Amino acid sequence: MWGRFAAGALLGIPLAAALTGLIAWGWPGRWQDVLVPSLQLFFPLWTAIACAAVLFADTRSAWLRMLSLNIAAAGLLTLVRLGGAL
Amino acid sequence: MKSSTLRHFSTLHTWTGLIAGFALFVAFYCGAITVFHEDLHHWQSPEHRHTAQAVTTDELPALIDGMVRKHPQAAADFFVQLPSASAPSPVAYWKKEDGEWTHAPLRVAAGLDDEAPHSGLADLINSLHFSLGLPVAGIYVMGIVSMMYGVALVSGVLIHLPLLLRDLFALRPGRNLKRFWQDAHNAIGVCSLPFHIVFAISGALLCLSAVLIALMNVPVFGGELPLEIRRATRVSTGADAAGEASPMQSPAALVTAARAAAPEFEPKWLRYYQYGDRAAQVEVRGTSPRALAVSGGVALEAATGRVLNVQTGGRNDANHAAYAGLYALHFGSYGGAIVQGLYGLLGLAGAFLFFSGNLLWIEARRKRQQVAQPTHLVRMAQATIGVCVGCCAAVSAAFVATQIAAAMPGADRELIEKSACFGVFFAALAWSFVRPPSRAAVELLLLTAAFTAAIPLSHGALTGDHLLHSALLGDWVLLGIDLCALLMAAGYVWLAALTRKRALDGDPNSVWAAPTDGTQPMRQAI
Repeated sequence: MWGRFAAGALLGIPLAAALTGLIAWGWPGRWQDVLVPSLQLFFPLWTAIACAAVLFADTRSAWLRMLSLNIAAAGLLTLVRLGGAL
Repeated sequence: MKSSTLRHFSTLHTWTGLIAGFALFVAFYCGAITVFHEDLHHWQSPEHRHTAQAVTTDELPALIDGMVRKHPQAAADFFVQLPSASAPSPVAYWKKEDGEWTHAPLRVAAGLDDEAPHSGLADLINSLHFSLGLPVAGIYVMGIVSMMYGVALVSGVLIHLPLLLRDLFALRPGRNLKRFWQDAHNAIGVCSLPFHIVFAISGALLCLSAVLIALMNVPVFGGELPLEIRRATRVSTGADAAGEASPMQSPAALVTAARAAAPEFEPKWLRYYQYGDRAAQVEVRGTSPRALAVSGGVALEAATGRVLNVQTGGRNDANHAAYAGLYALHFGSYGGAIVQGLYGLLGLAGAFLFFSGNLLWIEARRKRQQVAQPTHLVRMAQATIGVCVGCCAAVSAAFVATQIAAAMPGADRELIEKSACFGVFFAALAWSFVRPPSRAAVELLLLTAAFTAAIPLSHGALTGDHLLHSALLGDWVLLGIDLCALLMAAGYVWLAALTRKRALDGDPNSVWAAPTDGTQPMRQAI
C-alpha cells in the first residue's frame, strides 16, 4: 500500500504540475489571465492523484503507470504550448 | 467500494492524520487565536492604550519624509498604515539594509519618538500557527503537513462515505466510549469539511508557493512565472527609479483619487515604490465590504495621482479575485465579527478533531482484557497530552508573560513572552512523559486552567483595565479577550474533572485509568 502511495505522492508532483499547466495553457485566451486559479488547483490535483494511486494493483504497476501518465501529460502540455505559439 | 480498498484508505487516513495531527493541533489552536490578531495588538500593548499620540492624516507627509531621510534604503518599497480609530498611531513596514522586513510606529521610524521595547505576542502566536515557531524550515514543514492533511481529509471522507448520511447526526453516548469518540470525530469532520478543504488547499499554497513557482517556472511556463505572478497578484508591480526627484502627492490626495476610482473601497495602507522619485508608484491597499475578495488596492502614480490599475472587490480580474478570495477564506476576513467568531470556534473544533483522532488510534489498539497496556499506546497517550495540552498551557503562559513583561520597564518583552511560551511547552511535554497519562492529563489541564484564568487577572491587576473597567468604558476588545480566557479556564477545569472521573470510574483496562499497584482500591491510589 505504501509503495503505491509513494508512487502517487512523488510522481504526483510533476503530474499535477503538468495538469495545472494544461489548464492554464488550454484555457481559451491567454494563460496569464487564469494563472492564479490554475495554480490554486495544483494541491487538489496532487491530493487526488496521491490518494487514487492506492487503487493501482501493485507497487510496480503504480510506478509504471504514474510514469506513463507523466510522460503523456508532459507531451500533451508541449503540444498545447506549441499549438498556442503557432 | 471493495473492503481491501477501504482498508487501504483507512491506513492512509490513520497514519497521515497521526503524523500531521500534532502539528495541525498547534496550527488550529493558534490559528483560532490569530483570527483576532488585530484585537490582540490592542490587548498586548497597554502602554499605547491611554497615552499613544494620535497621528493625523495632515502629519503623514512630514512623517513619511522623515522616515525616508532616516532610512534612505526604505524608499524603494515600504508600507505606511493610514491612521484610523483602531490604529491612532500608524505603523510603517520597510526593508532594512540586509533586505529583511522590519516595522515600527511611524513616529519612531521618523525619529520623533524613541524606540521602546514592545510586545510580540500576536506575532508569536501567528508564527506558532504557520511555522510551529521553527525558524526558516518551519513554513516548509507546515506546507508538507498541509499536504498530508489533504490526504487525510480525502481518505477520511472515503472510508466514512458508506455510513456518512446514516451516522451524520448520530452521537451515541453510553458504555461504548470508542463509538462515542468516533461519532464526535466523524460529525465534526463532516460538518466542518468545507472549512477544512479551504485550509488544506490555502495552507499548502501559503507555505509552499515559493517552491511551487520554482518548480513550475521553467518546465511549464517557460521561465515567465515569477514576473507573471507579480502581475497577477499585485496591483502595482513596482517601478524603476527615473533618477529625478519629484514632490509626492499627499496621502490624503492619493486616498481621495483611489476612492474616486472605487467608491466603496476603504483604504487602510499605502505601499510606496521609489518614494520621492518622478516615477514613484503607490498602491492604496484596503478593503471592500460585501466582497469575498475583501482586500484589494488601487495603483497610482505617486507624483501625479493618476490611477494606473484598480483591483478592488467587485472590480478585479480573475487572478486578483482568486488570490484575494482564497486569502480571505483562509483568514476569515470577509464577514466581520460573526465570521471571525465562527472561524475561532471552527479552529478549536479542528484542534479537537486532531486530538480525538489520536484518542481513537489508542482506543482501537487497547487491550481490553488486562490492566497493563502496551508501551507504544502509553507513549502515544503521553505524547498527545504533552503536545496538545502543553500547547494550550504554553499559549496561555505567553499571554500572562505579556502583561507581566509590559509592567517591567526596559525589559525585553518579546524574549520574556517567547521564553514563557517555549519553556512551559517543553516542561509540559517532559512532565507528560514521566507521569502516567491519566495523571499527566489532569495535572496539565489544571495547569492550563490556572494560566488561562491568570490572563484576565494579571491584565486587570497590572494595567487597571480589569473586566469591569473595560465593560464600563465600552472597550469590547479587551473585555472580549479577558472573558474568553475566563470561559476557557472554566472549560479546562471541566475537562480535568471529566478526565479524573474517567480515570477513577471508567474501564480500568486502559491507558486512561488511574494507575494502581493491584492491591489498593482505585480511589485511594490517586
